[in-house]
Amino acid sequence: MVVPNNLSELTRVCEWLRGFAHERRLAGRAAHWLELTVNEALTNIICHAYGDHARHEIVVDLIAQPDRIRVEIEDDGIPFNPLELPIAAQPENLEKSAQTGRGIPLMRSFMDELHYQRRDNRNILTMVLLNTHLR
Amino acid sequence: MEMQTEKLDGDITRVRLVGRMDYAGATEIDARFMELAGREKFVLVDLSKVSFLASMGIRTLIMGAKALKARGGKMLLFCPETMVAMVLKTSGTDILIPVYYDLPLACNALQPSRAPKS
Repeated sequence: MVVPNNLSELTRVCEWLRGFAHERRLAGRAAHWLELTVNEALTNIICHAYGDHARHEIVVDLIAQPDRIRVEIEDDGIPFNPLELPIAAQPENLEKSAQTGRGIPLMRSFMDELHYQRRDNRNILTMVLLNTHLR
Repeated sequence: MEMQTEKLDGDITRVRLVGRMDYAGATEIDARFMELAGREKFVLVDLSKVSFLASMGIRTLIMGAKALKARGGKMLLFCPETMVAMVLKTSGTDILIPVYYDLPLACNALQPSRAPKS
């Protein structure tokens, strides 16, 4: 699926993901974490990957295998490896907590594998969810 | 996303959110939620009908809780369903904004000695 860099596109992406999950008969939780983590990855890209106001396209691929789902998200934004982001300590209280910055930790928590590579001036994020029919 | 409010005993406002708290849902309610956080004192956010919570939705909750706390008020979250509860826990949001599953206990936490009878 090709997604323009606009947050309003996320609704369409989530509908597509739910259709995919239904067709593949994914277990409820697996479908939910798939939708959440892709939603978070795209939100980060749309909000932070581009320094211009031009239209960009993000490519989302879903690959279903018997025991796993692999998601590949490719963008032409600034180089960014989400795996290098330090794991932030939990804030002590509400006053010290940030309003944003929870997307990548959610991706790390709910996906079983995350991989990143930079190729041909593009970021390629691969996320893998295991045992998708059992969760 | 829908947002419904009702007054409970005492000075507690129950805010029922219905639907998805993703970018679209959060955008729909942000202004009203912040206006309520700037007006009310004790807010119980009922998440029992929220089917999906993403980081944009967490942002809305935290901004509202901060605004309330800055004015001497309190917010807590009520009855999230399982997946939403896991997101709150995994993101550490449940440490910042307490989560309750029992209404009298929740109301007493907001306003001691003014919990509703049922």
